[in-house]
Amino acid sequence: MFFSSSKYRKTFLKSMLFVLPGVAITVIFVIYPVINTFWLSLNDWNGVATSPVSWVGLNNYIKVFTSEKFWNSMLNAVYFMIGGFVVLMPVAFGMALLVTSKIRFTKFFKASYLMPVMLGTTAVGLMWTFMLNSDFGIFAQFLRAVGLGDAVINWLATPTVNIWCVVLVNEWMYAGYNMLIFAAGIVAIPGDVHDAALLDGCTGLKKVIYVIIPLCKNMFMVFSVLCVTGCLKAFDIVWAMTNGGPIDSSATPAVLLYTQGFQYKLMGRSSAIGIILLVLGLVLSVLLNNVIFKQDRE
Amino acid sequence: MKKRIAAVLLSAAMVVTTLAGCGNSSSDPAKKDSGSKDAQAETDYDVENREYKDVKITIHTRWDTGDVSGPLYQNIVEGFMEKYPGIKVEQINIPTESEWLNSESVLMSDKDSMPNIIVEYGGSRTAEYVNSNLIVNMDPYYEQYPEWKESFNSMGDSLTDYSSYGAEGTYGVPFTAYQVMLFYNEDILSQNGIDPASIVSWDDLMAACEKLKANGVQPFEMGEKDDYRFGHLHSALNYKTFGCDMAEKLGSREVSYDGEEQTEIYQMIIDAYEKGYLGTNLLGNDDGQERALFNTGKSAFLFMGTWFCAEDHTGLELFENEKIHALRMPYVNEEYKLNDMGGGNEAYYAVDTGDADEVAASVLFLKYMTSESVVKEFVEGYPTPVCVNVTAEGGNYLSQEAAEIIAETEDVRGDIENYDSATHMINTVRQALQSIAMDADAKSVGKTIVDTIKQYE
Repeated sequence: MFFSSSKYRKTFLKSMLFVLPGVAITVIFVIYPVINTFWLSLNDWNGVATSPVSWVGLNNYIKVFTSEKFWNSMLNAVYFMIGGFVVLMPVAFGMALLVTSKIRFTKFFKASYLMPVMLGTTAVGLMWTFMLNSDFGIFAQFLRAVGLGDAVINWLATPTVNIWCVVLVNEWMYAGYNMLIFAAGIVAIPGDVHDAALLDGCTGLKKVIYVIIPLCKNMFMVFSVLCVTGCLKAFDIVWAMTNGGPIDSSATPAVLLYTQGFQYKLMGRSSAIGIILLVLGLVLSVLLNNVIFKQDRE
Repeated sequence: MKKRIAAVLLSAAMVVTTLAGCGNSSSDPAKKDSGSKDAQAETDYDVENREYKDVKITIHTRWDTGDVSGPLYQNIVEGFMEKYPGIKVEQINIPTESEWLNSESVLMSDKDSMPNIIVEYGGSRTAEYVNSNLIVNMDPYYEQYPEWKESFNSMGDSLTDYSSYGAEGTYGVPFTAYQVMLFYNEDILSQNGIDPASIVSWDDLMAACEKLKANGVQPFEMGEKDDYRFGHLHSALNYKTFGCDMAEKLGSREVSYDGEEQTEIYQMIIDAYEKGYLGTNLLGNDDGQERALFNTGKSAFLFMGTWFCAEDHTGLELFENEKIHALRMPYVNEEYKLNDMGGGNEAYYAVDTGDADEVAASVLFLKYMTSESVVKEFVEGYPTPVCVNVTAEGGNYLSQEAAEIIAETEDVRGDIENYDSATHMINTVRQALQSIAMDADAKSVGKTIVDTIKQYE
């Protein structure tokens, strides 16, 4: 029936023509690499173009799941998520409230909040590496000046402390970017809702809790998905500040993926980490969508 | 039904696109082999008398344009392109060691992205490329130009001989050489009543460190943020304690990384670390900061390769007043007094990309680069030991002191981890040694290395 009408047939073929480039790009740049990575994760390969690839089945996955380094990197990803939800989300939301409110200098606030993300990760990473240097960094010098020299430690070389430093720098950097997500939600709230709230005497914090936050739930969902997937694949800021070291103590799964592949030349194991991250990212996104934010859609 | 047909057609389109992606010539080993054979069949080893027209070669290096050597390397490239206008040399220069190594790994993972010439330190990493038939065997070219082969000294042999990895032939063209030495600040030592001539053994050095520390002077300020620093110390102490043969013994696993001998070496480093001799901010400083601290009189000693002599010391008072001097790395066992860490520093390897013109142009570039006049000009601007026999004038007082020490050296080896057939060893050992700066004990250092080896088997 569909093809019996030449009009529909033409429309269908035309639409296919428009769809095909997108499909082809997705297949070449997303689906094929994923399939290839999955296949590679079942093999051993040293990353040299003409070297043989040998089948090892699930061995790479077993090695990854029994590796202390992997679980340490997952813990670091969890620290990133905790930082994301406990620090970044409230700060970004607060900043969004500020720049959408009717106060003066909002343009200045917007520009200054966005400045860190515009600097670029490497610049931010290097800048904070110098600031956190325990010899000549500004924090060390300040602490020594106020008589708290004993509190000066090598922040970026002390396990757990180093990853938290990176997490906090990451939140500092991306607060402005995430502010835009929440600001978009806040400005989309119709004016009459604000008027109705005002008539009901709902102002200030009450208005934020009972009006703005519920109406921005979709923005929180967007933030959550971006945060979870972003934390799993965090690489650049970690690499710029600590290179994942010392001895992999601040490595995230993405850093581990890179080092296993290009330093240790274990492309199979590196691919297995990639597939694990992909599956984990998908599962967590689906869970967030279908469990935590399900009620809202219903 | 028609919907199903449409769905099938769309799926077919997707599969065809996927297969098109899979059918990339670079991932077809059979095609690669035939290409390579074609290139070999066409090979004319007389690269100097070949016609080159619009040939482009890429060289992947660690050259640093900000370093003293940077402009000298650029002169080599420009001089070559001027002499051979049919060849264009493009450079990928990444000065930071880890980034350079990672970048090379990425480029060498696909035949289409491979540079024509790579710089390497030899060892298992390069052996993997050699055994994958990606590196050009230089023997036929040396047969064509025997005088070229004869122009090299023996310092770079370890970078070109892969027979211990099962590869016959000569791979790569060695260029610069080095030896790890102990540099000291004459003023600091004399102010603290230490005679540098008295420092010949490790115990002498530790005694000097004790004296300095007691007087509030920092002996070393090592930059272990760059984990090769303890890596080099570990290699040098091995050669000074057990002789250079230890490299092969560890490489073949005849000696274990958690055995008595190695634990002894880790303990020596730990003892020095615990007494605070090695640095005050080991994991916070990198090797650049380490040198800067030494150059500005903040530490008495610097344990470093001879490339330090060739660096830009303009404006540095200590250097201008000739207050920095070189000593041979102190021995632990007197028997191995003249065994040292050193040898060929870097070699240039022509990559067999399967294109005969590119391979010939690459070999020609290496021949030009290691020709007497070019090396002489390079060494006069950057006084470092080289693997080519040249008599260069000039250099600075420190490089001359270093040259005198090198002249007496009996045996050298490079990074000890590189004698192992597993490529990961250099990272594995260096990372485990870095844990010393995080208070790990000798047993756990050895255990970490052995456990990691098992994980990667």
